[in-house]
Amino acid sequence: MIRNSLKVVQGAGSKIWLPVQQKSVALCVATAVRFNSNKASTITKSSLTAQVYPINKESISEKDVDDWLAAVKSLRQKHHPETEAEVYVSQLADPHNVVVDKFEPSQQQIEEAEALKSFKIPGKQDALLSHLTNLIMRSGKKARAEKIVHNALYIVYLKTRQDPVALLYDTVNRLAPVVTTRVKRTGHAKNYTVPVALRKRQAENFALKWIIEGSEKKRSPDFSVRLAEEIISAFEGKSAGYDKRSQMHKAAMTNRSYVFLIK
Amino acid sequence: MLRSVTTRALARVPSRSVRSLSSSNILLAPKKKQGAQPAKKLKQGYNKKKDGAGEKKAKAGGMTHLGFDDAVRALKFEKLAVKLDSLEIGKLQHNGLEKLQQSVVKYDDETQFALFRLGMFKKFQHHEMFESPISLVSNNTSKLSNEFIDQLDGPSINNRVCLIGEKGTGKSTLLAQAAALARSKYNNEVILLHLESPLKITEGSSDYFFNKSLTKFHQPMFTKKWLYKLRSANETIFKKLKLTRDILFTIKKQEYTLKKDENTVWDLVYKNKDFGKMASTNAFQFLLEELIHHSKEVPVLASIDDISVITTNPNTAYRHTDLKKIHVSELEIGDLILKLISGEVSFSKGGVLLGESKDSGKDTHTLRVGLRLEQYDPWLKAYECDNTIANKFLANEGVKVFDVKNLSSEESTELLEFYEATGALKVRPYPAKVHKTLTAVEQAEAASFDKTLHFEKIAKSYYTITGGNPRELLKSSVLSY
Repeated sequence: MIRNSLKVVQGAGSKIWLPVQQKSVALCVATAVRFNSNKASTITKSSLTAQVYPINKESISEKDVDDWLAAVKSLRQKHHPETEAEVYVSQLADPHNVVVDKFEPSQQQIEEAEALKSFKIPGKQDALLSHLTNLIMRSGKKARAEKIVHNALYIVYLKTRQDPVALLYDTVNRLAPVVTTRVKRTGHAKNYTVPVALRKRQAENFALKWIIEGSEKKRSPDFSVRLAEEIISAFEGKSAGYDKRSQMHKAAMTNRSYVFLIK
Repeated sequence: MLRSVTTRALARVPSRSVRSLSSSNILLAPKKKQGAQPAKKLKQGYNKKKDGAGEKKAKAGGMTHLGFDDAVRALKFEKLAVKLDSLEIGKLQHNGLEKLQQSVVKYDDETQFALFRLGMFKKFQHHEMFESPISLVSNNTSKLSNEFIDQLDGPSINNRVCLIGEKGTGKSTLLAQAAALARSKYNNEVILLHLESPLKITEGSSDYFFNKSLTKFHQPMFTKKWLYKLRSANETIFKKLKLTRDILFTIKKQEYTLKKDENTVWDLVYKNKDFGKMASTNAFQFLLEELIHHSKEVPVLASIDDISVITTNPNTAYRHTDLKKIHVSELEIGDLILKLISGEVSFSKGGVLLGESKDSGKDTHTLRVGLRLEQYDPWLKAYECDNTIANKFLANEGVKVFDVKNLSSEESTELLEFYEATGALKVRPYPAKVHKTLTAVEQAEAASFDKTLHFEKIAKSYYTITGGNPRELLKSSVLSY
């Protein structure tokens, strides 16, 4: 059965065993001898299987098949393989015992690992940049927002040839308001507008929002270019955000008499 | 008198108004202004203008109307960059290339101009970071110098190389380096025929018509533009090469003759306007034959980047009269490219250098089969593997493969050091996770920040992340904050 269904095909310097049917012999030969087949890919060194069970014959005889089956049967009965062929087949059945890979770190590696234990894992991104990214982000697309920020800062670097992160910190510090006003509801006819001091993050939030608002008035269809332009103009003191900041401060100054209402 | 006042006052009382008992309110009302015009009648018609439509829109301000990719290229930021003279970097030369190994170099001024005109400095290579384009002399450069540049003295049929490699590994940069090395080796006496992308032939942006005598389609608009680039880049050498035959052509109904051994190739490409004419001319073929003739003395380096454009999509956007797509081999320039690849057009001294592209859409088997990297499968569809083009690659013992490798650890560190020296890469401490006031210990740590030690750390880190791929190295170090 096995013998009838196998044919040796000579092609490209190597013999290939192919399962064929009677009618499609010619077709199989045509596909086996590929156009532009690479001669370098021919197998020159015989494998261990070929050494143990040589099959360089025109056809497999019934006796070869019987020998193979007898070898497998005898192997199943025996617990300890003796001949080379038995050892080979048993190793195929249980390869884990052959390949034992144990890693033992060197003294230097152990010392390095000990030194790294006290090392704190740094943040992925700067806190201010992370804040800006989150303000820009829409529909949870953070990678897109990050790319906009990175590209914008790259243009800022190209234009100013300064560290864009330090420049952004400087700009935001100058643009950020110190104080804002909130309405204190009394429950009576009159409500009071009360000045409130801002925390650092709150102040930065105002500054970053004003920068993003200002960038909408720029010409470029690319948000990163618009954002870069606005950061540069804010750095140069031309941003509309400075007017908003002074208005906010003016309102706080006007209502400074209500500061006592804050608890 | 009284009567006249009364009649005038009564005249101001509207006749159809509701009758009131007293007319004093109307009489005491302020007079109507003399200059006030009655409301104009609206014009009847279909093309009505809305209110304020005629007013000019307030222009949005800003540096540019371009997107990021074009803006960084168009705004000439390189003028603001650090002067490279202060960094003492060398120029790329063929002699003493071993000494320049693992170092950042710039190009010779003339060579830089020629490469710029040929479009060898591409978008996304971010040359705007530096005063002038730079490149790193890597193992790939020296290997290409040995395998290709040194063979330019032989016929180009035996010197056909295709650069392959992963995206961003530096294939286009290597093409530019090869052109610069060739110019350096032959003291600028080399003809550069460079096509930055065959997409310009196939995308359908040029006009085209059929030349019956040539049996190919001309693309006058493209040919003319390409010729401008070629003549600009090769001006010096074209002026030295005398014509080998007479040529007669017409400009504005006036006949001109360029004589052999008297006029030069420069005269041909400068004066002859037939290259861009919508008529069947053999101007380009004449030029090509002249270059082939002169290649006995002057080597010709034909380089084509983004060759994958042809192998992935050989059917162009142009169509026959029966609306079937025109194959790239039916175009005059497309045919020239394929003949250069196959060696049918061969220069006595020279070489053909091709560059693979990873941005040309869906990958097909054509290039892999043509370069013998893959066995031909007869069951592949025509659009999966174009036999015509694959056979061109296989003809005359085939095009050799040059695998462009990523940078080594030392090379990538060298490149990062250059970025740091120019200010493109900023070495700063690791970012804090949250806003906070630094403690005394943290302040002391910040004060004792060792920049050199930190640079070594981040250089290793970037190499690990990117695997030495120059594009990824640039993105992770300079374009990330």
